[in-house]
Amino acid sequence: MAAISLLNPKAEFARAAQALAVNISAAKGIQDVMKTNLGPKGTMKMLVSGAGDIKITKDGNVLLHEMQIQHPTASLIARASTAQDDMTGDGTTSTVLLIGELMKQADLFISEGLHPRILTEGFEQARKKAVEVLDSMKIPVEAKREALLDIARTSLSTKVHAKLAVALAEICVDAVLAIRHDNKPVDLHMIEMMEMQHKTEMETSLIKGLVMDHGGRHPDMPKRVENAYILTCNVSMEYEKSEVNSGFFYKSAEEREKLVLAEREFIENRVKKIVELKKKLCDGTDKNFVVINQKGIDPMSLDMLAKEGILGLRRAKRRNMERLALACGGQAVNSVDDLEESSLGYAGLVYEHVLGENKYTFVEECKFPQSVTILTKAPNKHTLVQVKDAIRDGLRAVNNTLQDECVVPGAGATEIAIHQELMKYKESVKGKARLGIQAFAEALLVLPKTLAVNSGFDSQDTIVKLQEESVSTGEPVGLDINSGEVLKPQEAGIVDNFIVKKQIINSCTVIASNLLLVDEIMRAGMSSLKG
Amino acid sequence: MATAREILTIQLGHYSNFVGTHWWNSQEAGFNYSGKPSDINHDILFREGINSQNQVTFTPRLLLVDLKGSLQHLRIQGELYDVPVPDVNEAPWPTDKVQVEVSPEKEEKNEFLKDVETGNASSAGGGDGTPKPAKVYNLDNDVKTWSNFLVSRFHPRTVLVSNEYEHNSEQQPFDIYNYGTNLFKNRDFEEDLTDRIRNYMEECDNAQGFQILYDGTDGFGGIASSLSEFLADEYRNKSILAVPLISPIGDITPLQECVRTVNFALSLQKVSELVSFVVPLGTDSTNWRSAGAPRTFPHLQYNASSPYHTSAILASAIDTFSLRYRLKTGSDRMSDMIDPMSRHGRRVACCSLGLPFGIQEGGNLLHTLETWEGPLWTSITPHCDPDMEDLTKRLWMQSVVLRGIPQSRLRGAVNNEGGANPGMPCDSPSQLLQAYLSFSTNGTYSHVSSSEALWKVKPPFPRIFKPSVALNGDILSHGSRSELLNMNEVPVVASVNSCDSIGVMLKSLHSETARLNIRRFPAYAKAGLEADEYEESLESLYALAENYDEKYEI
Repeated sequence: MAAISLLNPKAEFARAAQALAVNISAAKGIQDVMKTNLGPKGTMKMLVSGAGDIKITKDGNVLLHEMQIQHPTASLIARASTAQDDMTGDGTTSTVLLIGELMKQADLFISEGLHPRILTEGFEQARKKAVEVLDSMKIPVEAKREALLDIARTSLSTKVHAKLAVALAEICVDAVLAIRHDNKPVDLHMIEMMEMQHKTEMETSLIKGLVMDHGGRHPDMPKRVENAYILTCNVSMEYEKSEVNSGFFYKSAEEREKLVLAEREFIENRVKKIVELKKKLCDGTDKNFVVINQKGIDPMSLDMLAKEGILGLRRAKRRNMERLALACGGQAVNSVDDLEESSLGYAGLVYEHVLGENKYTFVEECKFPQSVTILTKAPNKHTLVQVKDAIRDGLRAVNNTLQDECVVPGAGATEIAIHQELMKYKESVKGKARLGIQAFAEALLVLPKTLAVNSGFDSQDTIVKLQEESVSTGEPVGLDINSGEVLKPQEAGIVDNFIVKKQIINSCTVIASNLLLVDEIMRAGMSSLKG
Repeated sequence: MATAREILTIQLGHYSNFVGTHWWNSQEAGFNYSGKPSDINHDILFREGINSQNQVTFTPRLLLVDLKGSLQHLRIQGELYDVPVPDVNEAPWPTDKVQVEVSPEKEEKNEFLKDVETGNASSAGGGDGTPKPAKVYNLDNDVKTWSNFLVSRFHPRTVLVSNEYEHNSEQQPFDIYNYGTNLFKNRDFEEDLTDRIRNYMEECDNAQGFQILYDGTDGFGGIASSLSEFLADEYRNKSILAVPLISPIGDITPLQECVRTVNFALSLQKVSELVSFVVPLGTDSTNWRSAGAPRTFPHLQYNASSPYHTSAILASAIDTFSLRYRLKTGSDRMSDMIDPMSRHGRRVACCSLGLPFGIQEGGNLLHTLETWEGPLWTSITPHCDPDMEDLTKRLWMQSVVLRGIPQSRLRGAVNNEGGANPGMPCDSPSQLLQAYLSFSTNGTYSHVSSSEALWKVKPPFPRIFKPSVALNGDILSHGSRSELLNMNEVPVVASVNSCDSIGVMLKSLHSETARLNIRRFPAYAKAGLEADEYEESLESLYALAENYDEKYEI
């Protein structure tokens, strides 16, 4: 009887071999669920809720979030894998697979009597070596469009179908390059993601400017203006009754009326200042004026603007203030006093698009847009979500490459190469730790194997073929998922992020080691609080 | 000037959604497509839209948040804006590569909802023109979640489900205040929530502000605090009315009871600092740690541990007191009710409810008030017992709404008593009640409004009325109504009041939480609550309580 049950009779526990069995079976279980989704040829999962809401995806991270995982070990693995996504934006399915496989391989040795501690020491040595090998396989890349397209396409083709992946890859690369300046680190938040439930996902496009999900709220405002000054501001143009009402500022009804009028005039003056500026800059020229306000604009103010032919938008996104300044130039102002031309931005074209009850405003033809919008289109909600998730990962992949300044060969090539190096390295290690290295090396092969199986080929055949080729040429080789033959990933343009691979190797080793070293699982009884 | 006066309602948490569901159901039951238009301005709480099929929709101006697994058969997107179900064959990927995983429990709809779907439920008159008796439902055992009795249909923007936590989860319950504040720090969640609010507000020409209903006793209190902070900052000039709700305690351990109380104290303190006005509601007379006796209403019999029953009572109160700023006649805004009452930092108020307002069958208001004995209403704020008659207690101000008494029932035939009765010169129910209150209270400023609209209590409103209440809400002097018929509507009176018993409530909440050692609850520390922060929060709570002490009043 475990000591815990003396303290808490309601506690459940599992010890030693039993505990390990629990962990291993959980790791295998979650691996089984996810393995069919790996790679460009992996299948999709359609998740249907009790009410019939559907979600279709093969993105490991999305799947792990959506599936209800009850088992504590499995949810630990799932969390490790979502952490992978938070850091790098890719490699979630691989993480789950590799942890599962490490546990499986370890199980073989442990059942023969090897102590888990020795195994994990071997894992640790193997991990170091694997990272060294990975380092040696780096292919340096420059921030060129073609090179970045390869990486984006590889990442995206594991999330959406091939045709869409190609289209999205271009969008992602162009978006990142558009906002990247002077080799400074890129802030991906300067890429706005806007969605429209409309047409098909192939119509998803990159807008070199900004798209907002609201429009002018006055029937007389122009729907389309060219050659426009853009005033971005955070100034309330809304009359508020509450300020007068809340105090004892008045003695009589007339006095109150007066105060109300004064208040109203105060707001009116703000609008008048904008109108004055517009008159000064635009009258007599072919220029137009657009006001984009973060605060509200009430009907009377809208009316004043509309009379002057000014397009006024209210309640813009807080983050769009920053984006607008980057896209159109100028700066967001917090007061309409001392307005000057220099604080205004410029856009060649501003127009409205109405879709049912939703209005969209496009701000385009900016001079030097440093903020862009990816406009996602799809016929239904779940496709929109799918495309949006994919784009987010694609952007991350491009950004990772810019930071790493290198990539590694994909299509299973790195795993094959590391496997071979580890098998050589094993010979140089003394003692039982070499068994751990062997287990680690075998486990890595799960990725090319699963890739082969998902593409409809025999896993052993493929591995043998790849290993032979790799030994004879001495170059990294990967699997051609269309023919089942060997290919040179670099030539085929299949490359992965260095940081993703590195992160997978590191985190999987740590999680698997931790799970292997568990010799007792306790679950406190229901009487105490779980934190 | 436009008189839209829009209000955005936000419901955070499962119990809040129970209350909200009753509220929206009954409001929609009151929609009147023919005959005399109602004196309630529905454009305030509802919005008009157009769906993709170019049909006009009229949906609640509502944003609600709940956890994964709480919706059951309700679709997140709603049905109104549904595009035809996607055909798998049109999918842009090879169809043989899709694997379908249906979530385990397919939820069965209950009898009531099935009837709503097929259009049988509300048909008092059948297709053949002969009125057939409406079906009687007993949903007490069928209702597990609020979606089980939801009749209203929502805009796709309305429902927001957090995927981080699961409803009723034992593994990872959402029961700590800081889980909520942490969830709000999650960028995706925060952006989704605030963006929907922005979309709603962008549509409004002349918004009054927000009504936030939230579960005060679990993690949703944390979301409410963070959200209030956001709203106070982003929509500075708008009124915000927060209604922390205390759900029935249910079967939990003493430790969990402490956690509930701590959550409530933390969220109440934080929210009251940020919003314009707070009205905590719950149907237990006391609630910290363990629940006291349930509040009793003279004409109700309800199950105090059922969220379905208690939420219906709270919804009646919210709908009634909010009528003051939702009428077509009159131009009162939320701020007109809130600002005078919240002076001296007394931003917390309590609420009392008379459900139904006990008017005798065939009787009139004047006679009813003349012969009234005992209090007009029952308090539904735990630990608060304002008493108009007790001269040692102070009741500073109250905002009262009486609904469902038409002009014709103001008084009986004018008799020869003449001007002796102070009620005689009054020519509206609100004036009459105002006069009554001015006689029966001691130095209380009362604002009374009235509406002719009765409160609809057709199914799925629970059957909580005693047999002595007639179908139209009158009190039968003898006999009882038929159990085979559904209640239709009732008159209601509700009052929001500012009184010294709120100070008592806040002080008791402070002393209950101050004696707990927060270090004994590691979950808080793990979620990021420092012991100092906790103490500071309790001190502010005490300071808030002192605002209700007249010793300090200048």
